[in-house]
Amino acid sequence: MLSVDRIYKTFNRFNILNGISFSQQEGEILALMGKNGSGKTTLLRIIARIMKPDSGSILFQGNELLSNNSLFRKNLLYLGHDPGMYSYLSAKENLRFALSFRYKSQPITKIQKVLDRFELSGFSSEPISVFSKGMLQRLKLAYVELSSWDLLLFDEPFTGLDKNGIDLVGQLIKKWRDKNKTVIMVLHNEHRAKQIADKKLLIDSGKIILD
Amino acid sequence: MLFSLIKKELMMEFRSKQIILSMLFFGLAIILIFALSSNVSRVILSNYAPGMFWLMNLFIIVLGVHRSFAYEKDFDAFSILISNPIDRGLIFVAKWVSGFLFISVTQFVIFVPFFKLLLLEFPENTLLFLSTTLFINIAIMAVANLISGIVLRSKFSEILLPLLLFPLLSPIAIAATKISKSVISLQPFAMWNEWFLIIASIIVIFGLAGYALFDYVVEE
Repeated sequence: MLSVDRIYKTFNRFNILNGISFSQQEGEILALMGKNGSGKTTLLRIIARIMKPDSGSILFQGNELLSNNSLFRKNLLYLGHDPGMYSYLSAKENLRFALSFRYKSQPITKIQKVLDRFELSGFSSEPISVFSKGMLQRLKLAYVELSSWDLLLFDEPFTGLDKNGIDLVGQLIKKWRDKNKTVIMVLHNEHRAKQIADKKLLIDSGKIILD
Repeated sequence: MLFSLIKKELMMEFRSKQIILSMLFFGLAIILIFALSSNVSRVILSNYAPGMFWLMNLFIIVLGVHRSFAYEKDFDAFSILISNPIDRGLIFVAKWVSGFLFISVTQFVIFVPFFKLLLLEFPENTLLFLSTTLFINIAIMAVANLISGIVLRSKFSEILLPLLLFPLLSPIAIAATKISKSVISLQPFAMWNEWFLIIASIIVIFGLAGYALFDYVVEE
């Protein structure tokens, strides 16, 4: 499904990723762990092709992701630390645009239903600049629910969520597992990683020290 | 896809009203400064008017394109946008089209105050003046959006943008001034066609370069 081979990345002569290699099977949930600044987010952003590595190769569903063919990213969904949406637009508008950029459209009733499920229906027409961190995180989860993807790259999915929200993510992960979806998550909680992940990658100083 | 991207740009501006309003107020401020500080005869002023018009445009365009890309930085929206399976060249085209619309709307509004406050006669051939202005806008926005895309990821984008943009826009500003001056003085097309062709070449070169290179320039 995903094969990451010898990825190197340097920022200002500082090695962030030092020859990272790993592979992931379809339906596997992988927890990416490590100290702050160890290179977890950089790795996710390189796989999502937001960042360019200095060298290396990433095969996803048999295609080289680092090539210029944007359609190779069709089944890949990336969600970072930040909401990744437009602050002046409402939750509904953001979702509609975000879906259209993935060649997908959903009827407004379906969007409203999903927003309702994530307890955002009362704010669906408000600009997301007024949202709290937890609400923005729920909006990202709604986006994941409405999108179609085979590989999800999710940077800290539990950040900013209250207990209900954390339970909701737990339910979603169970659903993704049932549907044989492949997920890479950046996690900081060891206990949670043991509960939800099939595999754990521990990164330190840009190298995998535990697989 | 291109339609969705342009719609997103227009809706963002419709909601925030930051690009057009900031360009409009800055443009009017510049016109007022020109009007209040120039103490020369109308003949001399009308000689310099096309240059002043394009100088004002360059200043307001920097403000507009910077704001247009600043939206993308909020909430890291641009990262998610480029991680989608879309042709990144289309993001450049959408910015180009929307930028062209924003600057053109702004120019139409400040067109009258510019001539009125500087006590200048309106160009006799107003339609030709406006259509050549629109044509020049296409070239300016192609260059401005490519450079904005290049500096977007930099921490110093506010400083880098004018530093890189003004030298690249200088040939356009010179050609634009010559074209506008020729149109105002009712010169035949044969007298200014080479300047027109320079603008056309810039549109083709920077349009194609922007579309082809945007994929590379926007990655961190």
